[in-house]
This record gives sequence, C-alpha cells and structure tokens, in this order.
Amino acid sequence: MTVNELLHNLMATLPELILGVGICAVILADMLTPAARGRQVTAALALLAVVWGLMLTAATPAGTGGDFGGMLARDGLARVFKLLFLTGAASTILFSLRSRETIGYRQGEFHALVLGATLGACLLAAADNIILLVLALETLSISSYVLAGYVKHERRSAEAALKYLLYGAVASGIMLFGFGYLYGMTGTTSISTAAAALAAGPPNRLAFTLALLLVLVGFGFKMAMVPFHFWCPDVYQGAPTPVTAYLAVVSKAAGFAALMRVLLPVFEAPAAFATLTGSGQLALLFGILAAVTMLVGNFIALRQTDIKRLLAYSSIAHAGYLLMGFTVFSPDAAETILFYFVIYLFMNLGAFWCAIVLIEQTGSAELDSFRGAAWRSPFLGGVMFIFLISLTGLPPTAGFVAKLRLFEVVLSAGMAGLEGGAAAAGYAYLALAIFGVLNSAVSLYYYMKIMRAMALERPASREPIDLNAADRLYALLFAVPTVALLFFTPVLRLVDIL
Amino acid sequence: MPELTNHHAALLLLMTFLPAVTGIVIAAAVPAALARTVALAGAVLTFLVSLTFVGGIFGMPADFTAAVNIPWIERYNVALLMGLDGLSGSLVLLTNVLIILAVLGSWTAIAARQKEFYFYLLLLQTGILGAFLALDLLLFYIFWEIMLIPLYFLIGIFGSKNRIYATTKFFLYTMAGSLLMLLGIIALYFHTGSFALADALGAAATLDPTARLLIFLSFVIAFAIKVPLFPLHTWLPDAHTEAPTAGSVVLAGVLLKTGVYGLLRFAIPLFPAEAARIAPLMMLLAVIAIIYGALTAFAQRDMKRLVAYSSVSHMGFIVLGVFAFREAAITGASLQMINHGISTSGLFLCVGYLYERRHTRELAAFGGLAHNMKLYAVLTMIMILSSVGLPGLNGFVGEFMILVGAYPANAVLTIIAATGVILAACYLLRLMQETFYGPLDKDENKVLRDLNPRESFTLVVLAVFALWIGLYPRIFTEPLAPVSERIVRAVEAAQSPGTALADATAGK
Repeated sequence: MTVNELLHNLMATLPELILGVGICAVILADMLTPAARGRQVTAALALLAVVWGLMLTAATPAGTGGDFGGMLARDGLARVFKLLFLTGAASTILFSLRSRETIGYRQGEFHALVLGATLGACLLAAADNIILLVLALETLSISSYVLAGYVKHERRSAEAALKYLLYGAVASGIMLFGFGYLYGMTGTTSISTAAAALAAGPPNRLAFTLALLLVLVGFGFKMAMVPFHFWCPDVYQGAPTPVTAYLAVVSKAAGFAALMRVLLPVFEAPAAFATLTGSGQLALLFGILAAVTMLVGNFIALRQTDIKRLLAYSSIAHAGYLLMGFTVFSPDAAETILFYFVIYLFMNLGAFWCAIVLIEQTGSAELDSFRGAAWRSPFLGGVMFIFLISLTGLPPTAGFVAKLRLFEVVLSAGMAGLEGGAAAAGYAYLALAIFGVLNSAVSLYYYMKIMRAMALERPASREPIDLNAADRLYALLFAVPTVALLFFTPVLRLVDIL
Repeated sequence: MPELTNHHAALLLLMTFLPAVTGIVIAAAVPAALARTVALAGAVLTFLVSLTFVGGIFGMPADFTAAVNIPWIERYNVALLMGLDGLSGSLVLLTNVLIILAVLGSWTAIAARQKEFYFYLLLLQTGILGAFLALDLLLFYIFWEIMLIPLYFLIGIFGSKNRIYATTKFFLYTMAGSLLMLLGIIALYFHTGSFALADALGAAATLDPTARLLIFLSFVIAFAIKVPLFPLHTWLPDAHTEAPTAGSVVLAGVLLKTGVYGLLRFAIPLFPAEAARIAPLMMLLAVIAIIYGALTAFAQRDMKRLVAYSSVSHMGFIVLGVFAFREAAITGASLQMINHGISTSGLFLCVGYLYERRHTRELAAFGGLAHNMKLYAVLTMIMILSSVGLPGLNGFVGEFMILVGAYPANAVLTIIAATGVILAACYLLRLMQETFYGPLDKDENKVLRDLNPRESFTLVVLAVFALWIGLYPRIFTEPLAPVSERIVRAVEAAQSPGTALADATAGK
C-alpha cells in the first residue's frame, strides 16, 4: 500500500475518523470543563462531530470498490445507512439534552458512548469483511450495553443493561460460529469474494443453511427479530429514553445493515444464487420470520400501558414488516427496505421525541399519565398524531408510501408467481401480504391507544404543557418530513442504490 | 406541473380543498368565538362552487376521462385524477348541503373546543368530496382514509358517554376493510401498470380468474363494512349513538354512501362477472339487513339507536337494488342514497335538537310533545314519513324503483324485502307516537320551547327536497340513469361469455 493509497483511503473514511477524534475530544472536554457546563459542552462537541460526518457522507457520492484492501465498501448501501445512523445519533444527542433522565452523571461519557456506538454502526454498514463486521458489531453492542445502563441508581436501567449484555454476548457467540462455517466453506474473510465463491461452486446446502441461520441469530438480536427479541421490551423500558430511541432506530438499522450486507450479492443477482437459496426456501424462512415477528410485536403491543414498552413492541412489529422485504430477492426489494428505513427514522424518532417531552412533563411513562395531554398542548397532540398515523402506515403520511412500497414488492412477487405458473409461491406471497395488512390494522389499535389517552380522555390537570421554541423546532424537524415525504418521493432517489 | 385545462378543473379542485383549507385556517388563526361563522361561510362557499357543476352533471359523457389530471407520484404513475358524473355529482351536492346543515345543527350544541370541531368537520368534507371525485384508485384510497381520521375525533372527543369505545370500534372496523382494499388496489396495479380507473377498466378482464375474484372480494369487503352490510354492521349503531349530531348527520347522510358509491364506481364496473356471481349472496345479505335492522330498530328504547338501526335496514334496500343489476333498481338505489341522506340526516337533526333541550334520548322520557312543540312535531313528522316511504315523499320513489327493478332478478327476496317497508312504518310511527302523542304529562317536557328559526331552517331545507323528489323525481333520476345503464350493460356483457371480450375492446 503506497502512501498515496493510504491517504486516499483515509480521506474516504474521514467521517469515521471524525467520529473517532470526536470521542477523544468529548472525553477530554468532559475532564476540562466544570461539571455544571459539561453537559452542554460535550453535547456540542459530539454534535459537531456527528454533523460534520453527516455532511461529509452526504457530500460524497457512492462509488464502487472499497478501501483498505476492500474491507470497507464505498457503495450506496453503506452510504444510505451511514446517513441514517448519523442522523439518528445527532437526534439522540439532542434528545439527551431535553431529557432529565441522563442528568447527574458526567455527560461526556454519555456522548462519547453515543459516538462510539455510531462509529461501530458506520463501520458495520460498510464492512465487506467478516472480521471487521464482527468487530464493528461488537463496538456498537458494547457501547449500547453501557448506554442502556447509564442511569446507575435506577435498578431497572441496570437490569436492562445486564439482560442486554447477556443476550448480546450469547447471540454474538452463535453468530461467530456461523461465520466460522462460512470461512470454512470459502476460505476467505471477504464477504463479496466469499459470495462469488459460493455462487461459483455451491457447497453443501445443509452447511450453508446452518451457517446462515447461526449468523441470523446475531443479526436478529440487533434487529429485535422474533424469537431473538426478548431483551427488547425490558431494555427499551429500562434504558433512558434517548438511548431507547437510539436502540430503536440506529441499533435496529445496524442489524438490518449487516444482514443486507451479507445478502447483498443475492439481492443484486438472485439468479446466480438459485441453487443456494433453493426454490424459495430462503424466502420461505424469511417469510415465516416476518410473519411471526409482526404477529408477536403487534399482539403483545396491544396490552402495553407503558409508552416505552409499547414503542418497543411496535419496533419489533416494524422489524417484521421489514423482513417481508427479504422474501423477495430483487434490487427493488433492497431499495424498498432502505426506503422504509429512511421514513422509519423520521416517524420513530418523532414519536420518541414526543414521548420524551411527555415523560418530562408528567414524570411517568404510563399512558394513563398522558391523559388529556393534547388538550394541554394541541401542538404536541398534533405532531404525535402525525407520527402515530405514519407508524400505522395511513395516508396522508410518508409511512403510507413506505408500507405501500413494501406491500408492492411482496404483492408483485405474488402476482408474478400466480401468472407465471408458480401458484404455490404466489399464494404464499399473497398470504404474507394479507397477513401484513391485517397486522397493520391491529397496530392501529395500540397507536390509537396513545392518541386516545392524549386527545379523547379528559385531562387530569388543565395546566398547559410548556414547549419552548426549540422543542417545537425539533418536533417539526421530524414531523415535516413525515408528511412531506409523501408528496416529494422523488427526493428519495437516495435509496436507488442498485 | 399542474395543467388546468379549463376553469371547470380549477373549480373542482377549489371545491375539494376549500373545506380543508377553511378548516386549517379555523384551527390556526380564527378565535374560537368566530369558528362556527367561518365554518359556515366556508361550507356555503363550497356549496356555491359545487352549484356551478349542476349544468354539467346532466350532460357529462362520463367515460372516466378525468377533468383534473395532475401527475403526482411519478414512480407509481399516480395522478390527481378527478372528475364527476351524474352519480358522483349528485352525491357531491348532497354532501355540500348536509355539511351546511351540520354546521347549523351544531351551532349551539357544540360549546367547547369549537375550533377543533369545525376543523375536523371540514376536513371530513374534503375527504368525502375527494372520495366521490377520485378517478385514480390510489387517490381514492387516500381520500377514503382521510375521511376516517376526522370522524374518529368527532366521535371520540365530542360524542356522548360511551364515545371512546364507539369510535375505536368504528375506526378498527373500517380500517381492516380498507387495508384489504389497498392490497386489492396494489395487486390490480401490477396487472395494469397504472392506478387510473380508466386504465384498470380494460385490463381487469384479462386478469387471472382467482386473482380477479380475490381482488374483487377485497373491494367488496371494504365497501360492505362501510355501507354497512349485515353482518358487518355492528359498528354503526354504536358510532351513531355516541356521535355528536353533526357527526351522525354526516355519517348517515354521506359517509355510508361512499360504500355503495365504491361498489357502483369501482368494484362492479371493474369486475362485472364476479359481481354477478356473488349477487345472490349480496341480495340475501341485503334482505337479512332489511328485516334484521327493522326488527332491531323496533326494540330500541333510545331514539338515536332506533334511527341508527333504521339506517341498517334502509341501506339494505340500497344494496338490494345495486345487486339486482336492473336499470330501474340501480337508479332507484342511487336515488335512495340521496333520499336516505335527506331523511335520516333530518331524523338525526330532530333527535339532536330534542337532546339539546332535554339531555336524554330515551323514548320513555317524552310524550305529548305535539302540544307545545308544534313546528318541531310537523317537521319531524315529514322526516319520519319520508323515511317510511309515504307516496308523495322521496322515500317512496326510491324504494318503489328498487323493488320494481329487483323483482325480476329475485322475486322471493324482493317480496320479503317489501315487508321491510311495513316494518319501517311500524318502528318509525312508534317513534312518532311515543314522542308526540299522548298526554303531555311530564313537567320537564312542558317547558320545552319550539324550534328557533335556525333549527327550523335546517329541517325545512330537507323537507323541501323530500317533497321535490317525491313529486318530481325525474330531475334527480335523469343524471343517475346513464350510470346505472352502463353498469347493467357491463354486467350483462360479462355474463354472456362470447361478447365480454368484444365489448371490453369496443369500450376502450
């Protein structure tokens, strides 16, 4: 590697380097500034690093090939996910300033951990190498464990962190086994090379399936996919709310990014992997996982009374919807998954933002304590309603377009099956789509439960909820795209990566 | 970019979105005390704009060539395709009249949170108008959903005691159906490559038969829930009972009609063969709804619930007429949609005015009101008789046409359905008898004052229409007849296999 090449590679990974430098700067600043002002100063530094990285990533178009000997891909997949992660991280930092849950400790730690987790996530999205992928995933995970238990005096927070850690460690271990098999079959740690080798000389189907299933355990844990979701409600409830938002958006997206990275060659050229994916067996596996994940997420969410737990189960359900995209291996399906994530980011962060404000105001995360909140602040009620409608997937919001595209992908596979002679597969796809739609109808009930408490129930006190200008601005930052992306979908050419 | 080829298109857009814009202005910038005045002004203005289409309704060629055609989501080839013919035009006018009356009817009934109330009401109007005008399936679906949300809040915030249960039930029922319809719409899109109704009409016939049946059923279930058709009707009595008067007026007056309209505009023209296949079942369900609704109405002690179940019964007549696939029956059903909008909205207004005075809707609480509320008694009687189907009033014309048209299609069911007319007389006259006749023996009732000019105005408007349609229905059936004729032709062509394809190609 020449010096020139090295410099070139370093320049290409500048956003990640900035995050790394940001971590050091935040820790230093935390020590140097008086505790009273540490919160603001470290937040500003962390935000600077994230936004700088975000702008650099946005300004760099996706390319081909990779850096550091092909370890880090420069493709659209990596770019879109990095943009998502950095936006999510910036929001988390802003959220932590609004939430009192994280006060009382040296805030520098918090922001350094957010940066660390984000660095891991960004590397993960680009990693085209098994070892780097595992390292990146662990960087994300370990930072997340600490973040989940950040509020040390809170028993629930500590319990959440411990649960998260135990589940996470086991899942990672199993995933490593899977990667071991993959390495054994192909003799390479590069994912794209391994894929090419697998396509050229398909190995034993059983070994391949086993490897894939084991890897899926690790990713499924991050994605909160059933049956690897058990940590999710407890951790979401126990963690400070800004961290919950981070886990629901960035960490979940990172799991999907890893899965998509591994399956990207299949999405790009499904025909080449026909022998490995079987005649629809892999699609069937993902179809079943999708169905079960939606079902469990939605039905358990129905009975939740704590907004954080409710949003946790809602996020499990959304993982289920997203998994529907993995039943169709086509470039369009990959783009649809990314598209869904872009919109999921805005609507979910928006919902969490409203939740943080409500929790701050009422001192409780119970839906009961939000009674009449929309009377006390029509603005808050209005924006929350937009996010919830969007999460349900109803027009006139962007969530509608996101779900529309997802169902479109599944239904088009179904119709193609019906009209192309593969009736069984066609019916399976149709059944999955209908199942997804019925699940959306179920989800309406619990999203409306929040709205019902806020708008339909009479308030306990008439004291208005005070929102300052910054609060309103943040809310609008999420609410405007949640509505406007319905009308300006061409903006989202961003996700046309394949 | 918008291509407003003529001012007709511009007026159409203006009419559709004027209510929503007025609503947003009310919510954002108008003081609460002025909200109802601004809402009334907006509703009246919308009505005036819609009057400009009256000439066009009678002569529109209606081949689904949209008057408004603005590209929207290009990736999916979705466009703002809107236009109106005799059927949608009549329903649009009905909507605009009823919203004015709903605003007037809520004038004093809604005292708190007026801004929100009128915001939701006008937003609802835009949703309904859009659904009637949309000629693009996805656009139709979007307006269809937009209708739901304001009504959810109208019932949930402004309704009576059990409102939250009722509004949740209403929302979930309707949503489940409409999401299925969305799947149907998307599936159809893959075959057609376009969401435009005009494109889908030709292409639907060439679909795989199983897919065609499934897509058709997804539409029918969504529309049947909205109508609502037995056994999917259980949300309606709850929603009506708990809704504020204006909510009931709009719900009964026009919202239920969107279901029938969906059948007539989308489901049946797209899948005539499937429609003919399930017609016997639908007619059976319709007759069950007629009888069951009537008997249940007879058993009600709550005036509003009584009127709500009468709606189930009356909507059964309409569905019966639609699935008879005879020209007279479908025209009658279309006319009956307007009739039902007039008489049932009128009845809900009557009940609402009484509730505002007395704060109860129990039949047992009243009696002898004809002694001290003379004007009220007369106007309510007209509404009741119109609903019963007394010759000379509107209800008779519609029901008569339906029964005459349906008889050749299925004599047995039609005869059973005809007994529903008698049952209607029983339960509605009982409503009249228990409220107005007998001694005025309760002290609370003695002090009730008669209708004020505003209240009388709303009922007089409806009474005038009831008489007009009853005495000279031609002017109302004329714009409806060509639409029914086209539907009947399409179904007949689909039933005789050899000609189906030829007709589809000829129609293109």
